[in-house]
Amino acid sequence: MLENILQALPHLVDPFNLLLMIGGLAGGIIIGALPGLTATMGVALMVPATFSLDAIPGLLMLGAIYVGAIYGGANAACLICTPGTPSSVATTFDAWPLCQKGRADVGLNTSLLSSSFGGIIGTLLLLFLAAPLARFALNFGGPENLWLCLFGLSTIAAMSTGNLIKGLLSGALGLLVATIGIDPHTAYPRFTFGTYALVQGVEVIPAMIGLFSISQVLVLIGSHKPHIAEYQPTPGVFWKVLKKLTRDCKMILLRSSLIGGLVGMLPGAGGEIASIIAYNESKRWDKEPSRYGTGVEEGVAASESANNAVIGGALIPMFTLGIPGSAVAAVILGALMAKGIQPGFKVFTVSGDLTYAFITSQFVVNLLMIPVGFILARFMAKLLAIRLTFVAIGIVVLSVIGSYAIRNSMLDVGVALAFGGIGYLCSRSGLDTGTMALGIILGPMIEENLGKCFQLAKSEGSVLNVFANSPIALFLIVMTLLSVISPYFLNKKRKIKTVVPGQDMDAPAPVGEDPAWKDFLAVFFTMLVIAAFAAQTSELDELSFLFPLCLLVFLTAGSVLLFGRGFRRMKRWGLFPDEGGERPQARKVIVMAAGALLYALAIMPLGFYPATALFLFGMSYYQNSAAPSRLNRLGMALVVTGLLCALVWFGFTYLLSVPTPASILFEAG
Amino acid sequence: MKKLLLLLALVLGLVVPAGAEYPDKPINMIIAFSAGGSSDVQARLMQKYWDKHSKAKWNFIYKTGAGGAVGFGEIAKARPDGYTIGGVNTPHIMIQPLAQKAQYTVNDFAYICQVVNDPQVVAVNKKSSFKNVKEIFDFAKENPGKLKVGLIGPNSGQHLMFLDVQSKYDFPVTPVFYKGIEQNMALMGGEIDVMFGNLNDVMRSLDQLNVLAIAADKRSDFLADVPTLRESGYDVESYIRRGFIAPAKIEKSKLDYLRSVFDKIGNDPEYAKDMITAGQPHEYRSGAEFEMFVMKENERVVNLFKNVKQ
Repeated sequence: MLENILQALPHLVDPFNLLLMIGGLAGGIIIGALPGLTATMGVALMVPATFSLDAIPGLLMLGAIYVGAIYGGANAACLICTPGTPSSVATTFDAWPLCQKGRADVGLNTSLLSSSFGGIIGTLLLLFLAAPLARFALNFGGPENLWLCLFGLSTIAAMSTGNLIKGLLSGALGLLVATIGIDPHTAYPRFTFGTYALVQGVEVIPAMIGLFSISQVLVLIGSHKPHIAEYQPTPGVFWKVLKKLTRDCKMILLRSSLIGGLVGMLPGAGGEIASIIAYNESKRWDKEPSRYGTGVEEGVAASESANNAVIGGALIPMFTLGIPGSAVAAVILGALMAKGIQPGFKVFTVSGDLTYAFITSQFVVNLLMIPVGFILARFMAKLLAIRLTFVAIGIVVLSVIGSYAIRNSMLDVGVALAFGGIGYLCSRSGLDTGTMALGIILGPMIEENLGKCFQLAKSEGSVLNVFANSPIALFLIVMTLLSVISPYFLNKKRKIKTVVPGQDMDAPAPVGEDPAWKDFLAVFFTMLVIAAFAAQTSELDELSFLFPLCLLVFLTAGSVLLFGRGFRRMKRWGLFPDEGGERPQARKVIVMAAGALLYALAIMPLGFYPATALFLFGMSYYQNSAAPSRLNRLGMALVVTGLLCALVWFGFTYLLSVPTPASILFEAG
Repeated sequence: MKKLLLLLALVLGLVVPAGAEYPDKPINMIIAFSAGGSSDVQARLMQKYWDKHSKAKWNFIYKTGAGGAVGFGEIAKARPDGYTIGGVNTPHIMIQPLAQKAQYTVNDFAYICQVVNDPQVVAVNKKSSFKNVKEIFDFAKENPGKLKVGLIGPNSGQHLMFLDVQSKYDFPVTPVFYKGIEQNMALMGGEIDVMFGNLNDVMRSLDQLNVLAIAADKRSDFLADVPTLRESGYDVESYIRRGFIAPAKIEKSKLDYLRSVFDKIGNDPEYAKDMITAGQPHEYRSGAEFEMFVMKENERVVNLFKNVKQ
């Protein structure tokens, strides 16, 4: 192996290749940071460029884009509480609170260094353990994948300590949403509410753009803050973070990276699941788990190291078995096979120079990412200096084009807006968007693997035989049970701490407990959803119906319990107890929501750029109530419109050739 | 007044290009499956050669979902101005209208050409005790329901082959469905005992699998030692073909142009070499031939499905 690595080195110091790697990193980070553009899209867009390059430079570039994009998502997660790619969902839990506390630079640097570390561990796994790990991955069949997903789902329980019911309801709602579309077993359309458009199902990414980006826009615009967060940069933050990570987070980084690498190996399971499991495990084994979610570097480190380690893991089965471990690996595999590279265990010998060049380049890329990412992060942090209003408006535009760009469908834009509304509702009623997103991501996999277990059971004779047949499955079952039970003990510990003998039972509602009206709102929303779905169930046959039925029953039971809780709270503390927080500026929120809706509707007749310009101008003018004069408002509106349209055109149409929605009336998009 | 009209006519004549040469702007290429997959790779290879023969660039648009039905539906409903074409797979376009309430039928397309003919194969794990197809059928008969057969689907080429086999022979097995290439992993990991898969997909895991038979009319160049199902005693043929289509109402002149350019590519020996390098089972057929095949095959598929649904 040493000779292979030495042979690969000249490729890495070649200036052209270095340029491609740095360019790939930078491009990848930006694509990852923009909500709506994913790593898959970034890599897929650059595949045609590899046809004119040789195999090695082309592959190196794709690898660099992949690494950059998976890290890049953390930037948006930190700065605007929006995962730039689905892998960064868990990063928002702690990076966003850090940003709100004025320590965005800590969040950004922690994610950078953790990503780099995770990437290196993932690459080490690929380099030294590819063959044995690939053989291990073959042991993951239907039952094992099912339990892995259930384990991932069980983290919901752990994440929502104190508000378990709402966490579970949010997760179940997410799972229910995922059942819309074609049933994985009978291939029959389900819950399409009469429209063909929904036969495509609800895509994860537009739903997440809505749940995180757009709902966050509404929350921010309704708040009284002039900026997203007050930013107080600490001098020498990079070295401080480095010290903190090497001193306190070694175990966390290592464990999370290993989780990432192992989960990445499994086709179907990707960065989202890996980072959430890693986050949860870090939290579980920490001495003070309750500090996770308040803005601690440990949380960011766990999530980001895991999702970058996934890359190395996903490439293991891609190279050795021809089965990509992630969507991006699938794209890379396509590019490789077009060049005639055959995957298989012999890929280390027959195509050895390519394979080793690529693997060693991943080390280089993960190290190069530190300076490149550092510069870009500094640049992106300047975003916090822009007035919140304009950032929010810009995010809406990016969300629209981002959701459209996934598969060139206006339906996805509609999904994003709808989930924007749902996400806002969640934030007002105490339901959790993170767990809902997890439900949407894991739903299809759970149902598919569940169905597969039933199919396999037909030949085994007994269903039980299939579900717990292997050591891996048993291990995962135990972990899932642990995961579900441990928050109960955590909660007990917390309650013991907070109850002081002789405490006045008529004291006002403890801070952090949802007031009654929030509970009722959540129940109302859930019942609406249950009704809407239940009305559609008549035309389904038995097998399609099983999974959604379980969910509907679960949701109903949960709503009843939540109603009971809300009722108890109302009796004790009244329907609208004084929470002490600020009331959102309802008018601004409504205008923004209506504006976004009209904008999306206007795209069909007017085309993308005219509609965007109108939206930008109108919204900037209206929402900028803090401006000193009418003229100033007009001027700012014009500036924002011009600048943002130009940026979007330059980035999306010119550089990336992403098609923008065409209008029905005019030819120009 | 007359002079003004003349001037206007002159100006219009200069400004409005008289009978603009088709194609004079980029052509949308709709791919119904994910980027990086077999369909995408094949289309990109064609793109390389298209650019040599035509000025209009291809603009790739991925419209995925519902096993391809979403993308195929988009092509059927697109403006038939010759600027939207796309990739197509059979038997998908025949089964989906029957089983999935798809938004199109085989009559909604104009067929440009066929580019790939990917026969199904019967494969087992390298460590399996089955050495030929007959042993598999015998085992199935002696142990009804015990054998697990992996298929991609439902409503796919492999599923169709399975239904065909069951309608002709006694084959009591348990089918297990997979979405795609994980089928290979399931076979390698032992979750299933046998799989009906695409030749193209099996090629990438060849050192872990044994291909026992190919459901084609003749042996494949890629696997010269593997007998056909017919040679093994079972009269079954099953293929997944890929081609290119346009909306049905496209003008004949434009369709002829597209067919002629694709013909040039299809018969280019360099293109054939690239396809072999990429492991794609290349078989070029003209649009007219492809259309005839689709219509005939559609009848067979409809009947097979109707019988099964009873």
